[in-house]
Amino acid sequence: MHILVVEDEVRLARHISRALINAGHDAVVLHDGESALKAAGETRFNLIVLDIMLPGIDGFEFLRRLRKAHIDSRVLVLTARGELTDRVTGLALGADDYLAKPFAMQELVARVSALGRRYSEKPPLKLQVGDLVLDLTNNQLQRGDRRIELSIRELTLLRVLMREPGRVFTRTELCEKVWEREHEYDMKLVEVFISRLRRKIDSPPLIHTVRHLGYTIREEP
Amino acid sequence: MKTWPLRWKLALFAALLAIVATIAGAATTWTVMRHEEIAAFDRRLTTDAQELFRDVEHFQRDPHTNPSAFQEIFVPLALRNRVIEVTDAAGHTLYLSPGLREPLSSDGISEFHTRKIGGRTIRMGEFVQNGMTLRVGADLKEINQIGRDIFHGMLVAVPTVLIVIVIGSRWVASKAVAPVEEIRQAAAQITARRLDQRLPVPPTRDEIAGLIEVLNAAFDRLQRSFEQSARFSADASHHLKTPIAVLRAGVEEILADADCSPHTQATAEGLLQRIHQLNSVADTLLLLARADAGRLDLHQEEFDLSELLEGVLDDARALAEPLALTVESDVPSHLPLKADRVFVGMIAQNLLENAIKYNQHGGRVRVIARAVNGSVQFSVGNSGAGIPKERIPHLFERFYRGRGDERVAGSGLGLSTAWELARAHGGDISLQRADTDWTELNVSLPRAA
Repeated sequence: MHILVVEDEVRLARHISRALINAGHDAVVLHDGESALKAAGETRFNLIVLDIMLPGIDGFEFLRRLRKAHIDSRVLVLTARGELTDRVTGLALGADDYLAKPFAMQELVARVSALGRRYSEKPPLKLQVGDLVLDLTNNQLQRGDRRIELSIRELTLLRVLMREPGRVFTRTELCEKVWEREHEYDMKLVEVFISRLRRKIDSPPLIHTVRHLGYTIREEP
Repeated sequence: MKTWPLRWKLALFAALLAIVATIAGAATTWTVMRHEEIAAFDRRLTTDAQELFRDVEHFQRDPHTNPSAFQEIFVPLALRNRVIEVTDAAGHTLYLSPGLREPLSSDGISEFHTRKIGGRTIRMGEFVQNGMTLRVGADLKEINQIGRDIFHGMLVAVPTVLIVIVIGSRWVASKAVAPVEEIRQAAAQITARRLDQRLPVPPTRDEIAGLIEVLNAAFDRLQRSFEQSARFSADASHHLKTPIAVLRAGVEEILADADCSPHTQATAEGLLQRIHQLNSVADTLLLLARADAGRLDLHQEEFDLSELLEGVLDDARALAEPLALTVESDVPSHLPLKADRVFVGMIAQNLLENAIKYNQHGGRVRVIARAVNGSVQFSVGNSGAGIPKERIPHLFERFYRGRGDERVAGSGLGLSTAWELARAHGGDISLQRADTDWTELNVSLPRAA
């Protein structure tokens, strides 16, 4: 994907572009809203990674002008938590997704690729990985013929993993999706619940640890 | 009376003032009039005396009368109803009016004066002429009548005046207070959400206009500080989070590097954990800053507290496992609540985390939830070593840690954050029990904040 990164903190911008390039994207980095707006008008970017607090034109103003100029590039907003709730709630500002600082680079990359294929499919009624089937209508889980009982957190966690088989979820991302906030304890909780899930469903293993990155669910290997 | 509306207070004060003024006016009038009446009375007595002397002189010159003796005929008709005593130079009584049974005692007063005779109040005067002394007096009854008339007049006038004053002053006070009431209503419209509004300044240059200008200036300052605090939490958030993001990205890059030594990996892993801690503290501080500025935005939604507690209890059981804690719960199947779900979740998480952290190996944690009238309450109890008495008043203070136990991880912000969040919903957290073997906190939240 052709990606524009607008972030005034030079070092963070460098990390971001490096991670995106490693993931096979092509990234342009700019440090202020004015020149980014100009660049977005000249070149068609698939995605803009946008910091909210920028010198001169800030992220909110950038978005407003971008949408006014009918530039339909997808926008992933980077925000320190608190900025958003104070000024705009949710994604009402016209961004497609947002990510709270500090984020894991893997998560940024994952979100970026998710934005590339979003909104295509209808929400399924059944999730399946190998012989593991989760019925979303009644939250019943089966492995082959075996019924498996799950606690509420185990169920939510598994649902998140099974929605995107093969995708690596970082601990932070799982925390946000399952526990709805980031907390010192929640990191530990992710590990606890992953191991519980494994005990209940694994043989042969479906949930895999990707070293230093996070977890994924897939059939093999 | 302190709670009365201003217009009634003004009316009452005006009425009291009117009563005092009327009574004082009547008293002054009565005094002046009585003084005038008595002077006129004295003049009349003088005229009477002169008439008597004239008649005596006239009759003494008459050959038909005995000049040496004083006769009743000497007394003019006009003086017959007066009190009269006539004595000669030697002091012998020549005449006593029928109203007097005995001679008036000589009191040596020659001027006009008032005395009591036989239960009557008599005004007396003494006149001397041709060797005769005449004492003439009359009953003051007739001028006392005037005082009574004034008194009767007042009995009718005072209530009338009072009614007019009360109604009139209430009307006047309403007129005077009306702009104040308008200001009150306009000021009530200026809430945190509409701080940019101002009170309209009237074209007059009176006290009300002055008051409005002062109020508007106060609103200006309020709006400025409000905006400052809002900007502060956004700025602080940005300036804290961006460096943390840089740190995290750097450390993660080290971790992802397959070439670096296991020692470096371990160090980086430890650093990453610290970064998470730092981030969590920053989040909490920013949350508290927003709460202090009164800018904690509650995203209210209907949800089932039982379901939320089920998740939190699930976490608690997972965390309690290595400590061999028993987690008991008594939660009804449905507890509908309208509140900020994320914040209520944080309250429950914070309390349960504490219940686990401050517990002892093999101890107990118990959660009970109930709907009580218009509120929903849940209590979290634990079999920890308890909270020392002197620490109880500081329980909800920031960075305060119940047991001062450095081995227990955490920032010391959990309970104060939970308390702020409960308060933001119009609820409360209270210490229910603080025994040596059981500590219990109770959270109360209105069913719809």
